[in-house]
Amino acid sequence: MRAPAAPSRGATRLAVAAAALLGPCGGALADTPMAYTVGFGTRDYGVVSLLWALLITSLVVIFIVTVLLLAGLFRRRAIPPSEDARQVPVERPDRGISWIYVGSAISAAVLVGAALWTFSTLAAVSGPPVKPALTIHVTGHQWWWEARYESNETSRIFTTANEIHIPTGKPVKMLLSSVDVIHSFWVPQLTGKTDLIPGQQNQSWIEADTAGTYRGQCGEYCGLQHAHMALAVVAQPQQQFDAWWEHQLEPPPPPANRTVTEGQANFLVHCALCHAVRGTTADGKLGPDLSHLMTRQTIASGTLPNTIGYLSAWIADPQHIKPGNLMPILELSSAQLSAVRDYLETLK
Amino acid sequence: MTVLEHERLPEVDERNVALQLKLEEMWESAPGLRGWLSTVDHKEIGIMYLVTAFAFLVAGGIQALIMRLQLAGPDQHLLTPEQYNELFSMHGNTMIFWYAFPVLSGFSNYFWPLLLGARDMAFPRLNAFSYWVFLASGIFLYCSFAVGAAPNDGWFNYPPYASREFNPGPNIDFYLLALIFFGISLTAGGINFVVTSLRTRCPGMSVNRFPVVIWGTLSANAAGLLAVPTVSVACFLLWMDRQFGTHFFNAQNGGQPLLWQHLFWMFAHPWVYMIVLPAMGIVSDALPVFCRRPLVGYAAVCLATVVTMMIGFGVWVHHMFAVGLPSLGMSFFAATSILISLPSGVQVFSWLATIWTGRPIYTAAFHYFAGFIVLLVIGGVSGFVTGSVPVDWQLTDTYWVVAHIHYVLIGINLFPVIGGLFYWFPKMTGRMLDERLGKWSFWVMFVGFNLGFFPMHITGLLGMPRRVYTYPAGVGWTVPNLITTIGAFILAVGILMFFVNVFVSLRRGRTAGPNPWDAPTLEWATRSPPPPYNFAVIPSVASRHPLWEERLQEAEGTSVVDRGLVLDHHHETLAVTALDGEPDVILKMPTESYLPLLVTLCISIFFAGLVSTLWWLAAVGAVLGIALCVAWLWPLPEVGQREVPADV
Amino acid sequence: MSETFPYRPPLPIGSIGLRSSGFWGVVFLVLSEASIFAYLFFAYYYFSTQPHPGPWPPSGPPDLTWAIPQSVIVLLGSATMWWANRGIARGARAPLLLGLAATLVLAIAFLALQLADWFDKPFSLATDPYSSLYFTIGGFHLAHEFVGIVMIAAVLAWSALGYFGPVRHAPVTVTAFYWYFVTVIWLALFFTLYITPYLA
Repeated sequence: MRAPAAPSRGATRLAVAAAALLGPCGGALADTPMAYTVGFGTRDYGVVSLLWALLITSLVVIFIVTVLLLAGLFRRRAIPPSEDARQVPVERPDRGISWIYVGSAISAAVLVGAALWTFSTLAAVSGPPVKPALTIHVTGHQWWWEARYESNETSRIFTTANEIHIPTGKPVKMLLSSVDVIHSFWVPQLTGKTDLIPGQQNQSWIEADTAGTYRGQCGEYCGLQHAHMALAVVAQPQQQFDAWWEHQLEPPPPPANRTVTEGQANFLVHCALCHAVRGTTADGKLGPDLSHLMTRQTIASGTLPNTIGYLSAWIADPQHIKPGNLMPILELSSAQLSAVRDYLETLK
Repeated sequence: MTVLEHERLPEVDERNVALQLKLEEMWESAPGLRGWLSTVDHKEIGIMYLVTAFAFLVAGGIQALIMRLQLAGPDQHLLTPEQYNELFSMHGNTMIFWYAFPVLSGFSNYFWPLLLGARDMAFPRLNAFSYWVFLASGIFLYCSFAVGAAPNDGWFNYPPYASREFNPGPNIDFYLLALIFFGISLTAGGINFVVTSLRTRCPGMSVNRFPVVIWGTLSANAAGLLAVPTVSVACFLLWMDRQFGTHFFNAQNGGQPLLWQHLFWMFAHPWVYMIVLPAMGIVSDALPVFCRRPLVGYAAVCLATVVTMMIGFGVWVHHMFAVGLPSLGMSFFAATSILISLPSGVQVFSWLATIWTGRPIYTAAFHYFAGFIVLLVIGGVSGFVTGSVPVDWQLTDTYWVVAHIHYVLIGINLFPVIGGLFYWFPKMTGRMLDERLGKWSFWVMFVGFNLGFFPMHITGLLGMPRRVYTYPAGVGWTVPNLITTIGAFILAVGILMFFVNVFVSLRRGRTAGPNPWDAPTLEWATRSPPPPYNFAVIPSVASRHPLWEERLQEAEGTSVVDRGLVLDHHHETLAVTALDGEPDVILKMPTESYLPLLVTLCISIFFAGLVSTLWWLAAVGAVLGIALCVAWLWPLPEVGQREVPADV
Repeated sequence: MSETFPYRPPLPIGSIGLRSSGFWGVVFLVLSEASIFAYLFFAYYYFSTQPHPGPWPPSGPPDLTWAIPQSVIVLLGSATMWWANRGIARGARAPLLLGLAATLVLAIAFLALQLADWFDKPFSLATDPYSSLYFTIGGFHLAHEFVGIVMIAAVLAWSALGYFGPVRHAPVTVTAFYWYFVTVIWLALFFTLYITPYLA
């Protein structure tokens, strides 16, 4: 599963640039974050060029067959076309069989070529070019993503949810499993899908070359809120990534005023059964880890932007936004709601 | 009653009116509803299949249109997530199982004996039974809507989401039991088609003279005998998990969720070839009529049909490329999945060559066949692209696959079916469908279909996953989805135009003679519609194109349709040797019977008991069913199944 | 003007021996049913090749106490069935009736032994994947056996009513073929479930 050699960065960058021009909306790629006709990760480049080759081959085949069909229909004939079969005599011309020979020969060549290109691309992208220094254990839940960052030092292991940070230019190993049903880890502009299957551990890897935020979404139907199980992969330069990791290990600041204290108390009563905040006594495992919640760009697994308004709306009535999801409506008074929200706002 | 003769030299005679009247009286069904409920006439059963299959098409189509309204724009709230999930699951089940195969069985049931020069299928009562079970299993499935618990895990129903832990209601039980129920129909039909093709034919109908639709249907049904048991086993095992706590698929106790995927796809991939190969056979037979020449490369096309079906058993893992299998195994299946395009390509080249070297007749049927070629190629290449493993990791479970499956299903099943109906409607009803309305309906369907489904390739490439009840704005999926919704409704209008054509033409269509298209095969040698006994005298054939023989001047002998074996001592038809078509046995056919319907009712009671966990009810259904089967199989002297003492 | 069919011997009429449609039908039915078992065995082998926390089968190789007599009985049952079919093919009613009756008794004995084996097991249906497979595969065979018993009983009754003769006895032949199938499936099941654990 190891790649024999890394794809040439120069060539693939050229392919990416060309693809970006030809890609959807011609360069306004921010508008199509899930398009995989372009790639920004090492695991994607070989696949993107193979995809384009197969797409172009397909279009050419469709074009040729359509032209042959139309030409066959409309070419001039000795007896003009008719609408009444009985008026046109039946005969068996001696020609025709060569179509099958020629067509099959050309098709076979194209198919074999596609198969061989497939095998070599598969071999190239199955494993990372160098041994990954970082391993992230991603666990699928209905309908959110748990991510545990592994480390040799136990004190440096931490868990986060729905937003995964990685350093640019370095391969990252993903260990994938699920606690409930089958999900699929998919960040189109970095990597194709690998399923998260309960009872087994799958492996994948990603590597982003360009800094930025990449959108992913669950790629295997997993129930009521499969449509709202997105994730974000944030690629940062190594230094910023290291700083982010350090920050994730820190406990939250102690409550600075009475509202926040009340909020934390309410949080521990109503929320801590399911949610955890590192450095506090809240250690629920049923819902996403909320440590440093305010550093995330979205909430509810990519469904809503992480702003005060949306956060309040979510806590007040999660069933309205993601009907059927496993967070119950909490019946908090508006005072409790504001307090909890203020507390969460301190989880920077 | 005399001793039933063990053998005789059958008489040979010319077709004559006295004989026709005698056979008419012997073979015709009872009138009215009684006739329909007890019929074993393959033509009536064929029509029942066609009408019922189209009813399911309409049901599945309405489900699709509702879904398209929900997806016409982002973040819509027309449907709840559960409603949407039930709709897409029922849409898939209805179309892929209860429409796509039975509609082809309808054609095959109606036409096989006519094409083969026989008076009926090998097992007339089993034939009726396979229809009633098809209808009953569909009704059973739709009862799930009535109790507000339709299946909601898609047409491939993966556990663990399908297990009781995550899906406690009866939704999935309806799915599992309905499929097992339907599998009975498929097995019965499969046995019938295979034995019929090997036996009940006319003299001279050797295998190399079979119409291509026979090859297509035979491949499909023979494959079904081996493939359908897989899904029955899988469904039964999952049902056991759900009802009795067995551990086949639940991961917590050592169960294997992937085993379901293997078993299911080992069935379902052959299945998708089963629902297109007979339709491709229809085109291979009808298109040449409208090109005024025999099909180019008949042997290659028949071989390609069989080879496609066989390779179809060896590609199933391409549905599982993302589950974490070793690269070597996946590479093998990528190779087979890419190479399976080749025999289909052979058929495309054959059709193009037939058109190119023939003289096209631009009937409505021909429009559908020509359009089908384009749609098949588009569907074929979109599948070919997914055969490449690392590319499939992006494409799988996106709208690219939805585009692919609809191009292959609507393109390679629905379009040939409608074209086939334009071709054969005159034979079945004695009236022509309206050609002008037919061409209009083709264009509306073709434009609507492409407008609806071509953008799905784009939506897929832009990363929209399948089976999502809604999607956000601002990711580029909004415009293609709106176009798709509009196209879907246009397609629906086109299909509606076709239905209008059928209903109006049934009353006021132009009268058709026996052979309005001057076609070559045996069904066109009968009246329109054919008499209940099909052929007054059994024809004998000397070539693939009996009615074109004189003009083509190719046959070594001569096909004869107005003179042959009389076989009028009772409900009789001929059985021949399997390969060469030499006369072998005079078969006695059973007459009408209510037993197929009654046994179906017992099986329905059985499954109703299972789905409601009223085990006593299931036992009642089973015991009654077994008793009625014994009654059905009771040896009858008229059919030659037992001796009759001479002194009775 | 009508004439008789030239150039060939007379054609047999109706369900006669191996040319009967019913026989062809049961051949393909058996093919389909055999596939069911092929897929069940596939499931068994799939599980047996997965990693396990303990041995496979979890409670050790299964006891052969009942299974070996069962195998003997099922083979005997095929022999008596063959004798019955051969008997009527030669027009002899006594072997037909005796053979069918003997097969019926042996089949019921087999059923009884199977149930005894099941009650003797240290595990139940829902214990673990192995037990689920064991009882389900055995259950499928038992169900086919039961259908065979119904068929034999019916054919025995029809034989007693004098329905069959040397020319027409297709139901006997069909039932015999089905019975051989049930026997073969048992042997395959015996090998898979009872022998392979000892070989591993």
